Amino acid sequence: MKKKIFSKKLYSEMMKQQRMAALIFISICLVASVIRIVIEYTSWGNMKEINPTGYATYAPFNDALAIAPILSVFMYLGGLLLPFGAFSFLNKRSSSDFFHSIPYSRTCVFVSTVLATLTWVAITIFSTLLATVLGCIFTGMTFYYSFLPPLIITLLIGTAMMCSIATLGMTITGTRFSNLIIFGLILFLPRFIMALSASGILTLARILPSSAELGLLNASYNIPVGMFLSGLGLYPTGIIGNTSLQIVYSYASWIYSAVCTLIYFGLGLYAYNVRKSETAGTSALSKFMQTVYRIAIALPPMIVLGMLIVLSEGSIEGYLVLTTISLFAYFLFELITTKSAKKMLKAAPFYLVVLLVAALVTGGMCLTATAKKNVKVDAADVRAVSIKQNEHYYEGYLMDYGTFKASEVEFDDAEIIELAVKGLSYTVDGVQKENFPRTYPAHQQIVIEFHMKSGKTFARRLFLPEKDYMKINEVVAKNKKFIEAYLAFPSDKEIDKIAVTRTNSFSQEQVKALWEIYKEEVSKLTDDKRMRLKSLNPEYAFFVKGMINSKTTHLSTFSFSQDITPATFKEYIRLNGLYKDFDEFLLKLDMGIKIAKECGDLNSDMYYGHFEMTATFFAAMPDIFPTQPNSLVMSNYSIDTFIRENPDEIENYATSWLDDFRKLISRADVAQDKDNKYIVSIHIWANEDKSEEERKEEGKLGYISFIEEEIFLELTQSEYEKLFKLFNEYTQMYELVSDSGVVFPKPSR
Amino acid sequence: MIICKEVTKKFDDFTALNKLNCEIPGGCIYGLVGSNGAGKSTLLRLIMGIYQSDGGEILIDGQSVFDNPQAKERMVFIPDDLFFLPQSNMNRMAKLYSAIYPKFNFDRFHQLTSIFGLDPKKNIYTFSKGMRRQAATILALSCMCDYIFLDETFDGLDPVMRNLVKKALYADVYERNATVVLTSHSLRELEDTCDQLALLHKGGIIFESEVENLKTSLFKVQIAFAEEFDKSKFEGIDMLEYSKHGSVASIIVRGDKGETEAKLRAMNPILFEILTLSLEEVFVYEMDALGYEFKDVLI
Repeated sequence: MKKKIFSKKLYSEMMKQQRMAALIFISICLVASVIRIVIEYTSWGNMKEINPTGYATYAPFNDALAIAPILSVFMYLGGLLLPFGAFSFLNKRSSSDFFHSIPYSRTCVFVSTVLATLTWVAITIFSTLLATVLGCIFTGMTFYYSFLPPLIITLLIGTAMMCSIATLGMTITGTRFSNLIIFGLILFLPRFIMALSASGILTLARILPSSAELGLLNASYNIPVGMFLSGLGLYPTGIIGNTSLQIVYSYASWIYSAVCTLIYFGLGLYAYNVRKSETAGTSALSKFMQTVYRIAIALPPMIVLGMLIVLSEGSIEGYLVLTTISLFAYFLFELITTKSAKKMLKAAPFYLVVLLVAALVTGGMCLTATAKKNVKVDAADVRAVSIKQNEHYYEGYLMDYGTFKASEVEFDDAEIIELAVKGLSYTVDGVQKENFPRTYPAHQQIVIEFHMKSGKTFARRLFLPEKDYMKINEVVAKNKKFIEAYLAFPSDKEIDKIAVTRTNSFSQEQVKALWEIYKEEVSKLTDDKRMRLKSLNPEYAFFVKGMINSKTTHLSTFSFSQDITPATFKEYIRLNGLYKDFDEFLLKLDMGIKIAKECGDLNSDMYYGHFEMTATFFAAMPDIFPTQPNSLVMSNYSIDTFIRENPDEIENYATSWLDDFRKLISRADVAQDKDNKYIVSIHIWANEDKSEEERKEEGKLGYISFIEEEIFLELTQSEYEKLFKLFNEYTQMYELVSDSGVVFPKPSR
Repeated sequence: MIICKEVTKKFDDFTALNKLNCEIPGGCIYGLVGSNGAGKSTLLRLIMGIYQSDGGEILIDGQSVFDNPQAKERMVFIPDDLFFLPQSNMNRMAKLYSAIYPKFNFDRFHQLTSIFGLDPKKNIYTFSKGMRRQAATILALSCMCDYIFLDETFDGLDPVMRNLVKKALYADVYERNATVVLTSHSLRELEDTCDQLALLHKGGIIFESEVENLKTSLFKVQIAFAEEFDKSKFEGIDMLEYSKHGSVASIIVRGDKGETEAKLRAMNPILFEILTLSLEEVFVYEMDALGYEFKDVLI
């Protein structure tokens, strides 16, 4: 009769047995989730009065990991403790005998138990996320549903991986102490060795860019370990490469971790099948395994020692400390697990294995580094090269989309290839002479990927003399493929979120519609103009965020301006609204002056007032401002003054100026001639009209709180000139203004 | 029927069972007796499929046991070191057993619980040692298995409860033709319960027989004659031991009681008495005949 590998009855029974622990975890996660919702909702509510703009755009769950941080904790604790509880019967003879006597195959017991554990894991994750989603729906807080799928996948795989390691640990040991030690070893030791090796290789072979050449040595592939090390701040060192958030979106991490999970569960199943029930209560299943565990525990300090010696770092004292730690761990483990001093002493000769393994790892690291750093190539063997500029490409940093795409372009231009090959040879020679990179004056660093005709690809960090560096960039900048890549727009799939600067009041639909207008308009521009757009300050721009591939998030800026992209700009202004709340705006102008005087209570020696206005002039005729083709931002005309004795002076200046300004902008006639318009953005920061008592009550005594407002005005030529004159006069007259550089030229037609 | 052929089991350097052979017929109560460390519990665990033997084979009705759910469905084991789920009561354990054993009978469970006077809703860990053993026995018997293995079953039970357990076992054997295997280090515990007894010593069975056979095939005779006599007078009678105190001789005889009585009465003794030996005494003499000293074998 074929043996079952799964039993529904046994699975239900195991679900019941794990219920208590699972419900505790679920309760903690749900409570944490609810508390968070309450805290965020309360903070949000408080913002309404203080920061209306912030209130309007409040989105506390603005990335995947921010949704339910408690589940990141659950991944570790639940992933460890649930299997520990489920398979705890293996640690005691009575329970172990019982479960080995029941009429189910060992495979069936194992599979049913594991599936019960994973079911509770899934219930915990989904219920917590559901609570968060419902909390957001109920409170009206913004929630991005697109974050859920990658987060769920990452948490499920990450927690399952932890469970698989804990399960394996349980099946190959028989006491609580050894369960925990072996779990820790399985989880961290391989990655510890890989991370140290990677670090050592990168240090020894400085010519290697980040973790480009290290493949699976990059810890970010392992979800729990990667996120743990990332949480400790061990990024970017070239070892991790990705932040926790980028791991969440990484297909490579999902696949690698899922495969590891299956392997660990498979090993656990095998171990469970061959395990003898009588080993319950013993630290290892056999003397051989006991030796292996002992060696594994003692290994990490000796690998660190080996690496320090090879890198000529550290001190004798440090080496002694590491050796002592290793010996201590080795013998202490034996003593605690066997409770026999005799056995502890008998274990002494096997310590040589620790030294041997450490030497092998260190030796392997050195050999790899040596092999990698001496690689030179002939131009004839190179099919193409890619210019990465720096390591960020490999590290999954937030990169500009165009920069990333340009990094992927393969240049088969003979001149570029020749320069790259020459640069590689130059750098390798420098490495071999060991005067790399510190003694190199007038050199520029660049990362180049070589695509060989053989199909092989490798990357190197090159140090090039300035002229060679400039030459490469010059040739690259003219390359059609480069320009096309650099100026490319991300596809819809590569965009998670778009925002527009200087406004928080657009809905996502409006932003996306504006984006489409922008793309349409830009696609018709010449490359020169598009390049100019790329080089603009992002004063008016789209901020676009998304994933390019499985591990790279892009955060890109796409500027628009009134002169290069008038259609986009016009639509932007229209959405913003001209003359928005104009009367209220005028009131705020008055408020500023009033508060300036009242702020004298801040300090008995000074009167401090702040009334600031920035006018951004968007010339309808770009040739008016030849040196600054885009919008021209006037410096802030602010009344940041420190007048000791005459607080009225501040008011006098401001009042008269504002009177004129107010008259100017509150004109009765609206210009009809739409062809000759000057668009002016008035951005005002004014003090809030609140008394000292009110500010004290709100806890704001001692600093000034601002309100801010921006409106757009369309001015005719004459109005524009009047405003122009007004600002000029004010600036010339008022020398105490802190930021008063008058930088707007007179308009002339 | 349970057949053990050349079964060997080692724990590291220690050999617990060394090429053990035995046959346990179906429908009987089989007792395994031996000193501490003789291998009784190990043998039971091997038969149950908890341990895997290092040599030989164990068959139950022709089927190998280890990792064989089909065979294990017919067996239930009450170990010396009992297992219960943490913070559970008997009802909870009954649910566990019912999930594991397809024939688990809740009616029997409730009936036995009532007979033994246990509260099935109470936490088992508040029970005394004896009550826990009763609980374990009830659960095992409720599984309605064909083979019931009990290790040191009567340990901690008072005489009344022992009788109840025995009665329950008898009921299973007689009504369902179940096979019960008991272990103990005490012959007295097993003598009035088991049909067959086997003696384990240093990993092997050195003596095996039906209890009835043991009790009737060996007996003590006290005899005296008017005239002087010695051992030679009793030639033709299978004597395991002969001793004489004064004019009365004590003889341990193996053979048919009736025949032996007739022969001896024909000699016209002035004193003649047949005494039944206790099982312990039977074992002592049989061991002696085999060359073992009793103190080496049993407590």
